[in-house]
Amino acid sequence: MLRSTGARSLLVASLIASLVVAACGGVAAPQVAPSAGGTAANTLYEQAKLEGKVVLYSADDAATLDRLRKGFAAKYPGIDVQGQEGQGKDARELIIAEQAAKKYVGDVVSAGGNTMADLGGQGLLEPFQSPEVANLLPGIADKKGIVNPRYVNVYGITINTQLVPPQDEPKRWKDLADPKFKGKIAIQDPRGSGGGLYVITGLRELYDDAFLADLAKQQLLFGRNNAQGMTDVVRGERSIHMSASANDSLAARSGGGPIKLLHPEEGMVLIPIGLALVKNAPHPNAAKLFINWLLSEDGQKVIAETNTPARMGVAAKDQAADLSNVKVLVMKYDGSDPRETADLSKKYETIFFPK
Amino acid sequence: MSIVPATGGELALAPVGFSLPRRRLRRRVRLTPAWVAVLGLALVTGFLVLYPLGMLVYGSFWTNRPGLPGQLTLGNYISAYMTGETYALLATTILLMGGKTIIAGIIAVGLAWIVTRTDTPFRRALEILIVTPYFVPGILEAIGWILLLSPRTGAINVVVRQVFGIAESPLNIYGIGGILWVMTLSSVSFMFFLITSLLRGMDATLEEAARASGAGPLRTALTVTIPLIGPSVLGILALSFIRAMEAFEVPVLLGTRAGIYVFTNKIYAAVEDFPINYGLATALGVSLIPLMLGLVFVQQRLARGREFVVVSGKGYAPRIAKLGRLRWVAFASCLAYFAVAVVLPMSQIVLGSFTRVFGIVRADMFTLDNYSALLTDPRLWRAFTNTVWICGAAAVVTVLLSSAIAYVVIRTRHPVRRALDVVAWLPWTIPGVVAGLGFLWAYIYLPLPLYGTTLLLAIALVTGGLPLGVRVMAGGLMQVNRELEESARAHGASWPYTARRVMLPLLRPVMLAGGLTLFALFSRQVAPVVLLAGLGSELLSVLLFQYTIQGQMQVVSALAVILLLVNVAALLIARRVAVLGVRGVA
Repeated sequence: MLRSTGARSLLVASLIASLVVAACGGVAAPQVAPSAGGTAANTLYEQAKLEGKVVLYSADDAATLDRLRKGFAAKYPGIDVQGQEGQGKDARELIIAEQAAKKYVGDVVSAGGNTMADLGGQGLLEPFQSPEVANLLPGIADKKGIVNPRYVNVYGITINTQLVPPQDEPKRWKDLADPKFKGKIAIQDPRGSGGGLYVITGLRELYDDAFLADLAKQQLLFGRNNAQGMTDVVRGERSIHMSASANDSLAARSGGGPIKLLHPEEGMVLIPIGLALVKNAPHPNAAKLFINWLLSEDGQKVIAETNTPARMGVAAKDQAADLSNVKVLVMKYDGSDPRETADLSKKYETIFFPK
Repeated sequence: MSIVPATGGELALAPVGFSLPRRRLRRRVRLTPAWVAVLGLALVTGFLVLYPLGMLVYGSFWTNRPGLPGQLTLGNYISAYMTGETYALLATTILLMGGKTIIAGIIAVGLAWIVTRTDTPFRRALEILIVTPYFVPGILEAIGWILLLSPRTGAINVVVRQVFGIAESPLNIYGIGGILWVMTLSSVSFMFFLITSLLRGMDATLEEAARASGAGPLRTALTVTIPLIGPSVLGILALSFIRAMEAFEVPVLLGTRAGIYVFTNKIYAAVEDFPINYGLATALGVSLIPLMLGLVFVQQRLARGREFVVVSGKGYAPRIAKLGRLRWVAFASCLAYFAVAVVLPMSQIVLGSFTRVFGIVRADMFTLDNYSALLTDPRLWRAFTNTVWICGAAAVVTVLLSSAIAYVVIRTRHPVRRALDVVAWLPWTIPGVVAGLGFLWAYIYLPLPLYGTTLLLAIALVTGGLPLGVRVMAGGLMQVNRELEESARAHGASWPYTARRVMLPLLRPVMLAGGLTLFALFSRQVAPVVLLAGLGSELLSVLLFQYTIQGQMQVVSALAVILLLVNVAALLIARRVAVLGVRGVA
């Protein structure tokens, strides 16, 4: 674990430290103009203004969308951000149908690695890397040059402090296989996309299938919806959530819930959530300008209100504040290969849901 | 069943298609404008229902999504039906939903009888209370009961453990029992609503005759009232059963966690788990169609020859059974239903809407923030206006279209009528999870600027509302004496004039009830519309869904409380209008 000396987020420093090893193969900051200033941006802005709007398919809540719209309009007046909310899978189905029918509405899609891999694999995303990608946290850039990470979801162990006394707190992910936690742990179903899949896969890379078999003996409570599992832990129906995002966990705590987010020694699991330009986007220039802006310092400050920014040097605010000083679990799996994900899903079915 | 002469000597009761000459007359009037209009109606209905359904069937036989490169395959059906799991799934689904429908049907008939035919105190108020649960979205009913009966921290379990000093919780909402309990509670209200309007529309002279011949209130109910409304009640039962087969919120919330799978949460899993398998989901969805059609066929056979008209056009005032002391028992059973279906679960939701963190009820956790967050959400008012307009307009259109379909099915011998009857059932044979995809695929390929518009949303709602609309309107029409219409025609009234001056006033209470039921159905529908609610055309239900997936259950609760109040207000207004309407006719 490293501590940054500057005023920047400590998270960033430790991320850099822990990701250096992984960076060798992966970090591919594309070779583009170093900064989105000067005439290039002006021309893009002129062209974007002619288009007048950009349509975003994302899972953002209304408040976040509103902040994005206002922030973007302040910097680039005359271009409206229109948001279509939905889960990743809804955005995916809409884009697939729009492309097949050649009725293009969506310009930019925001989603996690699995959805992006699915869309990208079908050739429905336009390879576009913002010049700002060069300024992102190391190791989260997209090797295929399609996705532009805008924030990261961070996963640790969440406990109900009324049910897990300090001396019993798990220090490591590995401690969760301790029989004393049998019947007490909630997790998102690892057969679907999200925290459950990434946490289990990270642990599998770190330990092995035998460890997963030990976990399976713990009578884990599997839920489709991570938020639902969080409610179970808040109420005390379960004591521990092993795939709650730091945001959910800290939100429950700041509301007054008996909740504590633990940073396991092996490191926290991190999932980048990115933006991609949709193929045949009706407002391509506005879309590019929006992606550039969202990854810029201005855009990332908006992101920092509710999430952990993907850009170096922008600290997460409020709820995510105590994410500083964390270690990150470096993972090979990044969700970019749908076949690998399907195989993992099948494996987890046999381990955790034996017939 | 014998034909009972009504007051005035005319035959108030006549089986449909009773008179032979009339039938011959209909044969001859082919290719009239009316005949062509019916054909047009059939084509429009067929398109609305069969086109999106066809897309799904096509998708289930295709290796990719419809319209994309792929090839024909039986793979989806093979992977669905070469495993014993699917048959177990089918058995669980039918037993669970069938059991639920029968239990709820018996309770609903009982409650409807109490409210419309007995001297139970405060029965008008009780009626409103019993209808209320229908306006509580299934997802909230389930969440309310989770908060009451989850094994460790459920409020009722905690109390029972303390009172009886036991360590183990006696009740667990997760599992078959929980699904049965929550779904029964919801559907009692739905069936009660439809059955009371049947009973209200029924000519009381038949019951009078039974009473005059010495039958007691119970005997009258069992031998006259119930057989008379029997066919329509069977239709309502079938409707409720089919609705339950495609409902997914309750099984997803209460079943999946306990490893209990029915068709819908299995389909849900197929589109959630990797590899995401829409092919399997549509194959499972499509294969429910034959099952549902079989059920419709059985229902029609049972009802055949037992369709009697019971509204004679005269004022009716059903004789009220005097229950004596038992009327307080009746009163208590109505209240008891309201307590378990609304008060208990909604108390948890209302509490949750005032807490900072959902699930913790403590004095220091109380807040009004959720309501202020909601009321300052720019989407709320837009969604509210959209819901009122889109769902309201869709409900009106559905009632009109359904009335026309029901009229053709019941009152004409047009060759398309049987097909029309079956087609109108089809939209509910497809679970909502995949129905939305059918609409998306169907309408995005049309060379019309429909995709992403409010109009498409309305089309999807109208299509999805047909099974309920046609059932309700058919129930209403079956009770209206054909002779009222024919005497108007015989006196020289044109068909439109007859429709406007005779049929519409007679059917107004049923149309209002149907419209309201449809509005409530539409205003809380999520799965089929979430893909179609384009930019700026959000509905409250979609908003509710989005807050749910974002885990903001406190805000969801606040929104649900508001939605419930709006719906109950609409119900009270509609009742007021309906009562005035009936008075206007009589």
